[in-house]
Amino acid sequence: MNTITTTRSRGRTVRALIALAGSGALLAACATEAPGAPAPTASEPAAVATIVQSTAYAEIDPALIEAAETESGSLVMYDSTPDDKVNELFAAFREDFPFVTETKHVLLRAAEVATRVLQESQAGVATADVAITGGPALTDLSERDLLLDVDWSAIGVPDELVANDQLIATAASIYVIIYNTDRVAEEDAPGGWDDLLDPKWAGKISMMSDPLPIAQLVPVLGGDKVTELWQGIAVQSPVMVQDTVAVANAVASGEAEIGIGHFHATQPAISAGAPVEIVFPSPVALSLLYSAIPSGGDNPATGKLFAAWLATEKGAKLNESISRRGNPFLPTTEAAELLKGREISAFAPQDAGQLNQWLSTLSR
Amino acid sequence: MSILTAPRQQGSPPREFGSGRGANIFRRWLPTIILGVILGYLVVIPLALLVLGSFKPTGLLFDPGFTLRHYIELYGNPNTYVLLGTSAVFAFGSTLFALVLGAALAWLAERTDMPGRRPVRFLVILPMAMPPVLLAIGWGLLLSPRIGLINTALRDAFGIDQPLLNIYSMGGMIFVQAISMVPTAYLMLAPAFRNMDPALEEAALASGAKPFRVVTRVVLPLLWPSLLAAGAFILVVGFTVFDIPGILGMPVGIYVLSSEIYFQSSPPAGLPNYGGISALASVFLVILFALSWYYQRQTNRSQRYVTISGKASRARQFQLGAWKWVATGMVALYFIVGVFGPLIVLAWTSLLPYYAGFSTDMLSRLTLDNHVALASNPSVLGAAVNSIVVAVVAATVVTLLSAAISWVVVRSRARGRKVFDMLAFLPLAVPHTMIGLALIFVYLTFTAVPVYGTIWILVIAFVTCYISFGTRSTNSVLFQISGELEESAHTSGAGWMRTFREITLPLMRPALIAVWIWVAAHAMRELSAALMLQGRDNAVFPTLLWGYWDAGQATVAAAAGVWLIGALFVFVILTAVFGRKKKGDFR
Repeated sequence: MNTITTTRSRGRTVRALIALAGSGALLAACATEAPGAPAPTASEPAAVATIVQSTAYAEIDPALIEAAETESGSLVMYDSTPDDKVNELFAAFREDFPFVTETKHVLLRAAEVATRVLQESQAGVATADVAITGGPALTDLSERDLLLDVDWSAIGVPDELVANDQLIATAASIYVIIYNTDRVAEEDAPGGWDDLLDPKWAGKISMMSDPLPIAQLVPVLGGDKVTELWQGIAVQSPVMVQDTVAVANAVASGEAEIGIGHFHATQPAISAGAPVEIVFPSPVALSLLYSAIPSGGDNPATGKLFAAWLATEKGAKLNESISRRGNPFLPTTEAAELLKGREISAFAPQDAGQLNQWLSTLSR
Repeated sequence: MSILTAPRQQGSPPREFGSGRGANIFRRWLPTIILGVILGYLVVIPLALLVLGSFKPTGLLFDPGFTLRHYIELYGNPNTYVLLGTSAVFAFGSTLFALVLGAALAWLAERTDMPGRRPVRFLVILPMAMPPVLLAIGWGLLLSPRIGLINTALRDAFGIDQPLLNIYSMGGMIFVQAISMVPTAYLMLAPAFRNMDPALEEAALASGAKPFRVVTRVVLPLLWPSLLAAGAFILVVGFTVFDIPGILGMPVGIYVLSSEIYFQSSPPAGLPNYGGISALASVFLVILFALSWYYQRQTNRSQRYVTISGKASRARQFQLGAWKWVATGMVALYFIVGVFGPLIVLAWTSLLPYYAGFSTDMLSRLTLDNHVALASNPSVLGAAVNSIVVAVVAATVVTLLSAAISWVVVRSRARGRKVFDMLAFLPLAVPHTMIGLALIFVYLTFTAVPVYGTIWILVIAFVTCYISFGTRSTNSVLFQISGELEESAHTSGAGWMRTFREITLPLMRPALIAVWIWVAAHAMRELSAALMLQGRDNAVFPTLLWGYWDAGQATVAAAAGVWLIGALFVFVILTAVFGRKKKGDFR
């Protein structure tokens, strides 16, 4: 029952399921937990991680469908996907479950999804039936007991997607290196993280102003190596921008020659013919998106049904096609194909505190 | 020919509110009560919640406990003071530049015989419709050292290797911020120029004063309330704005205070640090308190600025002679570079398959796909209707409320009028995200007012956000209108409401129209508060635009920007047509 496996086997990719507690213990070796503690250190960059894919898509439990049918026929979702894209998703969902007659989407910044659920829950008014955002923010809701415990396996969600009783992974933001093919020859393009430190890229790298992509490497590379990498990139005077869309734009337009971006944020430019190519460095850093069922929603069964439906073949593939962010834990998704056999690195949701501490440390 | 208004004795108190019919206690307190309730509702509650939030561990008001941690972390950090210094350079630089440009345009359009004054009045407003993020991106494409159109052209023309101009610099940030604030400066200063009594200048000239002396001794002192109001407003915006420093400064390591707000509100993981944002916003509150105090001190003797009296007057036009063509050329240059340049870039980007700089290679790839994608989105119509309703209602409420507040502040001796003036100014200090957060708290708590998740919560938010602009503008104009006109009405038996409706409001009309347009334009493009307050049924056009951007579709976002500007242009034309029913407005 885990989304990312980690072992202490140095230099070897291991496909094994490890309990979350074990994962947390391993990651704890790389980072101190206490808030306000000294900067985390890690001298054991031994962790290797990989995606454990499910062999099957979700098979939704008929009992869940019956439970949803007894509710009001309405679904409210909070996330940061544009309305027109979500409308496509909703239309397909309503097609599969015609008793759901009303679907509402509230577009919020990723950081504000959990805030909205929190405020509404604390005020005692109805909140979302399903909320989709990053693990750390949802973990904050979980710690406040504002998310429902769900027996995900019982309702048909493959174990590989289940992070814990509250969260299932429904998509992944994959960090990649991108380069402008008009300005950089394929053989000269950086192939991995260390290549970014080559002095020839000074002033030519575009990246987000926050160190999230680099911080997500800590579980595999270890704190010392990541700190060294981050400091090395800083010496390169990178062109800092607000988000990975701006990174993709900078590289597509030639403003920057290379960039650290999101796979999904770069896809619209590539699809439109921009001279941009993608490199998957090793390890590949991920930020996973999770679905959770707020306890203050009016239609929790419908919320669960939608979350589970996102893990069905139809739901997962449609979600991937509209958002460009796929679920790497499900078979035959594009994300799964892209990450197959690659070493990946990401903090598990229950280790949000350590991730935040690393972000704070690197930001200094 | 107008005659110089004879000011009353300096320092004489303004006329008693309602004294025309014998003041009584109820009348004396009536404006205090009404405005107290309105401003308490719109301003005091969000500000109080902001301050309260700064003492909460998470900044969220329902959360238990109190802490000083945010203040200790913020003000104990030396970097805060570095950011404050950088912010000051940016804010003061852009304010000075915007005021000079705005005043020059206002003077040329209102007080000279420069050809093409009428189009100037329309076109100067256009940049207001462009979301600052798109404006900054547009300037990036024009003046980027690497791919900027102008730099590329200069390189090709002069055969040089190094770029001549770099928009990614403090100078570039100041320039773009100033350009973005020129419409605001213009709209705040134009009514003052228009209402200026020409007799004063004529008297000075007749006395042998040189033009420079006329400007420094007559024109500038008369403009002082408007200049002060516009300067204070633009200065605080300079301290709080993030889009332009974020896009043009961050890439080269220039950070300002608002960058810190951005980092706190958009953390890479976890919940935003609302407590930290609230503590940071308190810096802006202190700055505004100081500016407000200075403003009130400077405008205390309002009679000094009276230029509109009961005597007939007609604005005198300066004859520029041959200089009018120089002036026309300079104004044209401003519009070509400062207004149409970014607009053309935006239009260009909206026709591209992907985000790219200017090149002849891209000409063959231009497409209408982005506009088609926008038009095909079923959410567009609803968002557009919501945007228009919100903009019209918010602009109307702000305009009327500003007129009422200014009348009480400038004309009456109502109790607490100085406090009202300050309260109406303070929302400028509060990041719009935080106004949104506070309103969510308010309307989740007081569910008897069912506006949560509707467009009406956006109207309330925008009225709070923009009341400071409205009152600065209307205060300035009221300072210029002599009280003798209203006194005459009272002497003739008119009540205060009739006097306000039939004398004061018509005289304030040009300024009120300017306020209405400004608020409508800003309400149509406002994103931070709209996104924070987004509910199930209140999507507006800027949130739609942001959705495209966030999904990596910058070119569709540009298409949305083009339509947003087009909509504003229609707004301006309609307003101008409406305004022309009364001679003198938007001629």
